[in-house]
Amino acid sequence: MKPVNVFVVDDDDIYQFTIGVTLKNIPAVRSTRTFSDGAEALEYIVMHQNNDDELPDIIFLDINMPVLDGFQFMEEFIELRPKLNKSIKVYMVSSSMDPKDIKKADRIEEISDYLIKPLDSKHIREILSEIS
Amino acid sequence: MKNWDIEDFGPDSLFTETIKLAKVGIYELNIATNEIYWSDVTREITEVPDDFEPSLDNLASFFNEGHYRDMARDAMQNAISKGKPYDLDMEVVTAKGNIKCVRNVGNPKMENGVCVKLFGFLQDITERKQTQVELTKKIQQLNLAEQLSQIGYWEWDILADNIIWSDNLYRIFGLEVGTPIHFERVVEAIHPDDRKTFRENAQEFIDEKRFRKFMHRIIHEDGSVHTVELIGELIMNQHGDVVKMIGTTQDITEHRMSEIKFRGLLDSAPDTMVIVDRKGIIQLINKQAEKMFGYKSSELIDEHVTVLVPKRLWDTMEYYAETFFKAPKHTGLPADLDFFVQNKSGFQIPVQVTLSPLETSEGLLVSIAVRDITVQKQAAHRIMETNKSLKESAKRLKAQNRQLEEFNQITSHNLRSPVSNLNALLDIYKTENNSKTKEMIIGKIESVTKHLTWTLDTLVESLLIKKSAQQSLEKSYFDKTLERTKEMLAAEILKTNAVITSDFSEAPTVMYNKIYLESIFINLISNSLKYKAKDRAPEIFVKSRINDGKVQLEFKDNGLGINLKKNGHKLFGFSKVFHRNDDAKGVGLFITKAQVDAMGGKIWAKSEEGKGTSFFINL
Repeated sequence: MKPVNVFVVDDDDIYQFTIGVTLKNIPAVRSTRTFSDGAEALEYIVMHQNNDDELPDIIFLDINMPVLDGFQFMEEFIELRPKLNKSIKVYMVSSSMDPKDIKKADRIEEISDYLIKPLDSKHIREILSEIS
Repeated sequence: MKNWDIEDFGPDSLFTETIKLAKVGIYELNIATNEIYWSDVTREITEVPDDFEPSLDNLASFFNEGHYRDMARDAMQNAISKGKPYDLDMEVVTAKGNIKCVRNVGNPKMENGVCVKLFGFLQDITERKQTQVELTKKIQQLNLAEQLSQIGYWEWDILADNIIWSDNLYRIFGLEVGTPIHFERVVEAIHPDDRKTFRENAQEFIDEKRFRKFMHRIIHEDGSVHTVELIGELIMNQHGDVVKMIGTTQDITEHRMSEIKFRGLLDSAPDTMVIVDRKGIIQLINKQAEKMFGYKSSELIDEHVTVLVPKRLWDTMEYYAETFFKAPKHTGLPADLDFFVQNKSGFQIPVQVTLSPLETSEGLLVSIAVRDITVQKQAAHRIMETNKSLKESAKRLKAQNRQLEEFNQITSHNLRSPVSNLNALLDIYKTENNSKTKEMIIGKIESVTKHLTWTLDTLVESLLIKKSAQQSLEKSYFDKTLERTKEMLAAEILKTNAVITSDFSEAPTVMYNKIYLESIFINLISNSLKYKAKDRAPEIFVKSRINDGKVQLEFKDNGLGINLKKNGHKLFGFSKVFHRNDDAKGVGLFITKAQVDAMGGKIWAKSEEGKGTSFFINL
């Protein structure tokens, strides 16, 4: 199993903590980076766009965030993606079961799936095993 | 000159002159000599030339052969042989061939039983005769006219109770011409149901000295019923007492029958019908009209149609009447014209009116059909009401829907996310062995619980806002509200060096929920302070104005600004934050909007990133 870089983009610090603990206990995870909003994450990716080791293999992206929310992040990210050498999978993560959000996420091709919080360790392992 | 007895009076005697003036011509026949004398007038009547000598031989030529010649000969022979005088109306033929009517009177003079002379005179009665003939002809024509028009003439000598009838009146009554008539005899011929009215009318006319046209029915001996109409007048003596009544009686059975037919037709019409003449005088109404207006037919006939229309609509009515008479044709008054009629008790009824011309022998009449549209009006009103309440409930439902959606979002995100956090924390807590980490997790659980409590409190608060909106309206002065806001935010204002200015001159006050108003001021101004631009001190300007009759507030700042294209849709959402700010909880604008909504107002924003934001509120 190839170790992976995971980005967690979410303004909820408790969630950041809990998912951090979960990911730390999964051997396949090489590193975890957390960002409080989409803009921060985007900035980091742009800065490291030529350094594949710093780029994530998978992003867990929250919807509701200040400055740049999940959907706004996706707009920018889709433009940026062709410049990257690495394929990055994006999972939309939200506590919202609002069908409007789910549909909206469905329409965006680049989003691999829509996951509802809380994410349990087993589910995350499955997802990681698919990509590594 | 022969000695003529007749000339004994002398040619210039008064007698001779008198008979000349009377156009009486004299003749004398001497039996012994067969000589005849004709006076000048006789010669004038017979139109003979001056040299004409009458004789027994040429007398016959003055009478047409046949009736008058025989009559003349017989009269003369009887006079001469039997001494019998004669007095005849007859025709003579003059010398010029004209036919004249004459009175021929002869008287024989007898001596010892033998006629010796025959005296006589001729009187020209042609003119009188002609007048008589004409009179007879006129009477015949009158009779014919009476018969044709079914009219009879009567004359009632009230004191003597003697009634004279024309022949035709007998025929109308079906009685033999010449039957003696008096008042009770007339009553006898009248339909039993009409007798009382007939007597009353007669008495009333005498008392009031005025005849009023009226109708009654008569029954013929064969049982047939006829309707007659009487027109008459009263004759008074020098003391003003009524002594005579004269007039005509017309058999109007046929006329009446067609009227009855017309009435039947009118009464069977579903609408109220009022028939008026050109001047608007009511001629006829049907049963429906009696029902609608509450008047009896007799109360309305001869009244002006305005009694049925409320005063405020008289001008309208006149306008349509004029239009109608300009080109009389079937015309419906416009359906959207709110027209009303008024019944006897003054109650007004909404109606639809149609006018139709009605050509009659008495001139153009207007038949007015009136339809009561109360039910339609009520139905229309009900539909409007229903429509209105439907619109209202649709609006309410929409608002409720929006609220539900809002709540759905809040519960699905803002409530679910702390709960999922709690679950995740508990999972970790269970698997964690390190007691230090466990303690840290408990701390986090505590903070999540606090956040959850706060979220619930805020939700409850927003629910209360929606519920208690209109409760306490108070007059609030914007300048005072702003003062209090500044006091409450004193620390932040000091820290940020904010400059707050205002202009409330256009609308200094508002009737509003005081607590909400203060909350709106605090939320918007503290937002401006919180999201100030990094490089400059906040400048906040608050203005009030009247817009569309409503008080509008504007809060303008020079702060960070918001990208409304990106974030406009969630500007007033729950827990939406747009800047990285430790204090940002995303609840201020949510509460502000809830308050403005609850008061029936509206809030929106204009903003440019890096320049500042303006909030507008229609209170």
